Amino acid sequence: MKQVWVLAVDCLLENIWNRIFILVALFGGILIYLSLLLGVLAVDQELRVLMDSGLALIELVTLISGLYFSATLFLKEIETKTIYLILSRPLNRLQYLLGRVLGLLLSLLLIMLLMSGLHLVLLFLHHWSWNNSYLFSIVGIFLKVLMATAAAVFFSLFSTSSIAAIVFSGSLWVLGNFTPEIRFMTQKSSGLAAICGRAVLFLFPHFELLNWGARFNRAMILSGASYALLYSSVFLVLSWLILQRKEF
Amino acid sequence: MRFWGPVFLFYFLFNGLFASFERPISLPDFSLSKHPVETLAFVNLGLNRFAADIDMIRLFIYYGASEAMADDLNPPKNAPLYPGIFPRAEEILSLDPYFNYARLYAAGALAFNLNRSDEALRLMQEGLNLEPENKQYKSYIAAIAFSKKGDPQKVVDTLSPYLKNPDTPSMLLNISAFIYFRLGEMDQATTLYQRLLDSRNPEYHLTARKMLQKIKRHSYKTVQFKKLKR
Repeated sequence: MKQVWVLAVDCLLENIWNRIFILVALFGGILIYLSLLLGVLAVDQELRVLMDSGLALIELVTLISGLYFSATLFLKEIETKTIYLILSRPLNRLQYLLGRVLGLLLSLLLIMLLMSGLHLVLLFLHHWSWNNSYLFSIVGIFLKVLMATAAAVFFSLFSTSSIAAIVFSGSLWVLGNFTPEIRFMTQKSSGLAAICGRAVLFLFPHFELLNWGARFNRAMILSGASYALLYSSVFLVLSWLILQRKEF
Repeated sequence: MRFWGPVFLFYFLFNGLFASFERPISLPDFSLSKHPVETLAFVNLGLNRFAADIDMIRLFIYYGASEAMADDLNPPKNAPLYPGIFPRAEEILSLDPYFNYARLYAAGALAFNLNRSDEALRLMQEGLNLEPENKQYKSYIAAIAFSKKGDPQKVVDTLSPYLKNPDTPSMLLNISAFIYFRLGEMDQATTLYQRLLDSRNPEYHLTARKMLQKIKRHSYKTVQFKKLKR
């Protein structure tokens, strides 16, 4: 466990020095600009627009950084041959994978916390009063990004280029957000179209289960969270299977 | 290699099982959309609510623009004003069916400002189909019916319990305040105009200020008249 933690902290520090603060500063600038602009335009609905735009930006920035970090993490270490040094220590490949993924998740959590802090400051400045749905929305976003990141780690080990890994996991994100509509179309269609639709539902993730906006209940949270954890675990197991077979 | 099969099988099974927890959502009607590519991009990224907000801002701008600017520069004779309000509202509500404010705003504009009660009732009925227990929607439907009959007293009586609701559009507060003013119920009118003046929406500040001065003058005249009468 200690080795895993050391690797995680190392990954977190590396990400902090590299990109996190630039991303957060960029997000802050965009958010302040958006809040001023949309506040004027949205009249009665200023708070709602500020809330939705903030959450949308948090989701997109975390997703983009998650996909980028995870798609480049292992490939960079293979290219720079750092992986030889790490694996020559008394450390098995599962510990290496878990350490790196944990570090990645800590980096994403830090990005999300910083962005949410900034977002909350703006909301409170606009006389918003605290609502638990905000916390659940943030947790939902983190779980969605966790799923996408786990898939991106798998694709980065599976493919030889980081761009391909980003494209694969980005497509998974898009299709995963589209499954409620696919389910609706499947219910309305029949024959081959319905079979294809059902196959898609078995294959792609269901991010809608984690969209806990203003409407959520305990059952939705429990099923959504367990789904996200199960989904990510499966991709981590697949990544471990690939990593075990890989020859460096 | 022997682990791959069971892992994939497990993945398909649990993923398919969780799919049944997902509620099916109809696709937004892209034929209604003025910006179908943008809407599709937002939907694909899972940002339906944000897309609805952007379209709501566009609706504000559209309804705030002068009549000639709002649509065709040379509209045909007898063409309705702001014909785009209903399809725009439908688009917003297809992206976020629970966007209460958008439904009330569009229905209010159609019913009380533009005399297009049928379209307003259609919007409210769709809302009621989605949330059959929503009392505000039921009252709104009743108020639209009273407005159609030309009974302003009943319109404000029906709407008054919901005017304190934060989702009530300023436009509706303004309409209700004016009806109260016309009916001579100055206390109610003053309360609503004061609320409009205190709100963060500057759109009705000038109207509210003017109307409050008018009410003040009216009250002064009434007092003087009563004194003279004595």
